Amino acid sequence: MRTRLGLAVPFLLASALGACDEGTPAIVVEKPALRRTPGEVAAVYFTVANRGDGADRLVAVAVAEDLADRIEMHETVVEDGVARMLERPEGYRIPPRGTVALQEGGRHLMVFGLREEVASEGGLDLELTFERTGKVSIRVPVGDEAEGEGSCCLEK
Amino acid sequence: MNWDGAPFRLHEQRGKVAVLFFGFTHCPDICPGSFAKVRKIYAELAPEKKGDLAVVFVSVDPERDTREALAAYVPAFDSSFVGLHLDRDALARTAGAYGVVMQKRYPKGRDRAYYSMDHTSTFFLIDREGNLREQVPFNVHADTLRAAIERLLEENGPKSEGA
Repeated sequence: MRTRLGLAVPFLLASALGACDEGTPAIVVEKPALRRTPGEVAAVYFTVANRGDGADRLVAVAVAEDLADRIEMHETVVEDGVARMLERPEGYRIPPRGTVALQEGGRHLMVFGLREEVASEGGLDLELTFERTGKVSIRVPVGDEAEGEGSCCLEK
Repeated sequence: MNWDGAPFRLHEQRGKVAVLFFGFTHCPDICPGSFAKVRKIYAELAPEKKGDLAVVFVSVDPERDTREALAAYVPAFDSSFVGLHLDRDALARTAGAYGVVMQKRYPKGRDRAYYSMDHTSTFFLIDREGNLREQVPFNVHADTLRAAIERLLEENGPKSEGA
């Protein structure tokens, strides 16, 4: 039942990003975590490690459409104590031999309309599209019922 | 008004330490993160101190955060937590008093059904006498916020002058 993916492709062209095409990226997605809330929205966090010598970019994310309405790439930016949540349709650049963390208070995937069934499914399947690596499927585990509590994440 | 329909006045919390923070329920990242942090601290507080701490969430999005929406949200963290739906004027006064910024932000293009709220994400700590004593960024470690709360809890009630 969870086969069709509602693909939310950013409107800009991957080719327009002009990423550095030198070297070869080697992408590993680690530590996926889902933050559910008692409300209608949720966040997904993970770390992308690039063990290769070429840059890459996460350009699209997709979620099984029977488990959520849609998913988008966002970033919370805090300035003078004021938090702003910005869309990042251009995605996130993953530098060579570098790591990019999606974490609380920063980059995150925002999930709209997450279904309660995700709990019985035991996880949320996502398809990540990297500009050069291509598609990477991940399963984001559902934390315990402590709603709003991470499963996540960073506490500085 | 609190999520349970009861009127709420901060000055009636005098004698307690209060943690006040602002946010909205259509917020995936830092608002639930702030709630989770406060809940963890509250849950781990010594039982005899729990009654001395008031946790107060003020919605900056009264349009979507109706009393009913808050009733489905706030007590999921802890039923003792206050979640306030304020009318426009009361919200503006409260935000002004704390220097809180709040502003709707619509996504670019297409879907204008959803909007986000820019808002001040700081925890405001108020002592037993009703004085604003500390402002703690949302992204500190829970132990840092806990220590600040514990410091205020250790102050015993209204003190005599010069104490």
